[in-house]
Amino acid sequence: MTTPPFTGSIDFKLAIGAFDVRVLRQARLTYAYVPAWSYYDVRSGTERSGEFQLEVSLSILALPRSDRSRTSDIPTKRYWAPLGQLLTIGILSTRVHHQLRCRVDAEARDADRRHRLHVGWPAPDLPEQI
Amino acid sequence: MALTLGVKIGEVVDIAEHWVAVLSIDTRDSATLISNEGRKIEVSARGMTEMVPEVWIGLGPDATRSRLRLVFEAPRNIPITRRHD
Repeated sequence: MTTPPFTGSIDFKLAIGAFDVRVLRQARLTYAYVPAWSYYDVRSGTERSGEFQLEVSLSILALPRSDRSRTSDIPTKRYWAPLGQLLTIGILSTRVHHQLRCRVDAEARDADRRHRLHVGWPAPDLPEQI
Repeated sequence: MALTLGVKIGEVVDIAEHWVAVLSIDTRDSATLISNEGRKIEVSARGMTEMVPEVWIGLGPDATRSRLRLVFEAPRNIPITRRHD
């Protein structure tokens, strides 16, 4: 499989609640994206159109020191804990998945615009200019 | 890892040593796949179906008459690729 043209990460806050206790954590969505629209391919220097593909993984910044009841076997440093299965259909709402795809697509469009301008190609207007 | 692939009816996706092909798009929220074993697999935008151990398949929302988005949840070491003839 070829490397997807758009890769990156999006940080956001994730609230998790259980037993009347709520914690707020930093979450990081890492993506590799092939859009269904035509894009400037940096590697080949040509315009390409691909078939839609979006690979995402999700991590949460664990804060062991925030847990007062910690024991010695819990890591004391912050670390990114994988939580990809949270993206399984039915756990988060359809609206969250929709927003996630929109954010990734918007970042890819921004990157594509920068790539086109960098090589002197015409670029689509920013959404605010339409 | 969650992977979403845009596919059409008849297209094949390889999943390690297995494969699935899109047999039909039944509604905007459901479709039928067929596996290499000849087993029909109903997939839905309302939940995920376990195709083989550790590999779950669902459907992205708003499928059209000929195109849909398959959502895969699987360990990263299981290769999932669109087959190009």
